[in-house]
Amino acid sequence: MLSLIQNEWMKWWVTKKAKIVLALYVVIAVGLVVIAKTNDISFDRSGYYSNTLTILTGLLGIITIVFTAEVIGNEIRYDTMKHLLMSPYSRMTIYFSKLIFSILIMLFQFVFIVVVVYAGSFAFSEAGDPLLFRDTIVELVNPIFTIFMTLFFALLFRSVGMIIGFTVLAQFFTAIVGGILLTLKPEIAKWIVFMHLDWSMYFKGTAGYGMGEVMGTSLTFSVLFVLAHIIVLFGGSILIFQKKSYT
Amino acid sequence: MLKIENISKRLGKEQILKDVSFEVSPGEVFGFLGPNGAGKTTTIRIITGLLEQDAGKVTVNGFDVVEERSKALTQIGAIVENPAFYPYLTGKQNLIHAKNLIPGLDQVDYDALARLVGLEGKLSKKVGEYSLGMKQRLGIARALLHNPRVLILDEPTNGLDPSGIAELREYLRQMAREQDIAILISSHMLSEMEQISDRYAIIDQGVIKSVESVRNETGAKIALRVNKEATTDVLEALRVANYPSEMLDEQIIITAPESECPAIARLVVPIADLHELTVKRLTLEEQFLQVTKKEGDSHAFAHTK
Repeated sequence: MLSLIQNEWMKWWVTKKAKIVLALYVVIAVGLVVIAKTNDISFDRSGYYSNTLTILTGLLGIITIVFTAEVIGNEIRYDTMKHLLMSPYSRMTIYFSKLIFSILIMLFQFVFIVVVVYAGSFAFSEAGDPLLFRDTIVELVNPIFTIFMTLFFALLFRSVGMIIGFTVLAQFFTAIVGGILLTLKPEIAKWIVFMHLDWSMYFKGTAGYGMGEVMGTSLTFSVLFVLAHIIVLFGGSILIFQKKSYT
Repeated sequence: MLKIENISKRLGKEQILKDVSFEVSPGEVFGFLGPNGAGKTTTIRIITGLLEQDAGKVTVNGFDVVEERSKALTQIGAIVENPAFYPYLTGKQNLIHAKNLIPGLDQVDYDALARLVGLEGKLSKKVGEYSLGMKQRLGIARALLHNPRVLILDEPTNGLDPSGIAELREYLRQMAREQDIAILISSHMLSEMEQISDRYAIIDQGVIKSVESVRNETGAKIALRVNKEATTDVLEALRVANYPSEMLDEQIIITAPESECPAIARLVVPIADLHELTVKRLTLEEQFLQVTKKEGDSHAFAHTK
């Protein structure tokens, strides 16, 4: 399994876009420091940290869709899937290696973002509210869910463009519909999984605080609801990958 | 070494393979022939674990491809359809990728592999910059990476120039002989297969029509030219001696193996002036047509001269 993950890393790291994306995170984090300093925006350290982290993890969500789509989509594009499936490794092992790799590169980027943003926060002298580890960790829920969803779509479609398109459409369209329903019919909105990916809505002082109360849900409900969807997407992916012909 | 026993496969409503059986022994180069859509690639996909058969069994070095998949596939090196690579990786990185797909394979001498397939100094180039011939060579290097006991090559000479084909032919025969590897080559290039294979199977519409030795004498013919006035006597003598014969362009054509030449000469010389005696072996193409009786389909095959 480790050698399969090494292969995935090699295929990812040699591409220019891996480095471009990392550079982009730095540029945005530094850019926000410059903008704040030159425009007298009164950020304290925690204000810069939480705002920049939210922006960059939002970007990470989109980048995660692209990278995860390519993890399977590129094997189809280059007709290399058959070589993976002809190897002595089982299909289950191959799928797991791709899933674990997708999570690992997302975490790698996430840690990179946290380090860059944390370093950037020292440009501001005032400490402000203490930086909460909890608020940082909940930012991971959305990208992790995105990986499972993208891998599922990657097994349904053969083109990287279609995989990305459907994942983005599903995520943003249902989030918009959920947003509308939240004001009109919150009791229906709570059954849309995308409304449960931001767990910070249960913590005081965050932008989305109180949304759970409107929908009548608790953190436990959101956690279980997201987990149930992940299990369904994971189980569906395994079933499809075991049966699908790539020849 | 490679044993295919009564495999059948249905895809949708179509029966792709029906009761296909053949064996490839160590040290043997085995040709797998058939027109497009005959079932060659489906058979290869089943052997390499890409598809599962509905019935029958495939064993590689004694390991069942379905029941003992990992052990069986570790013994196989293959190119299926076309050699596919990651174009943004170098040749060497593609080989490292292939090495990582074989559990327990530690050291690989990439330079020796490159020398073997004529890609010295080329492994540091990105595969996207390779010609089709170079990709074929790299595909063969990848298939040989883990010293497999069975090598399966689906149309391996596609994209190779005549000298490349000749080199590959020589190399495969040498490898089969020296390393005792069983080699299965699927191709529609009949004259090329004739030069490279020891035996061959012909598959048509999912059914194995024939498994023969390339140098078999089935259908071999002996041609005689005698003085005109003795022709009738010679034909009668051959008929009495149970040699099927017929006249064709002033020649007497006898259906008999080469080994019968001395006996036929002894039969003819006392009753006619023997001007010419030649042996005509069937080409692989003629053998194929004889087996399938489908001359109209011969366009499915290409020839190399």
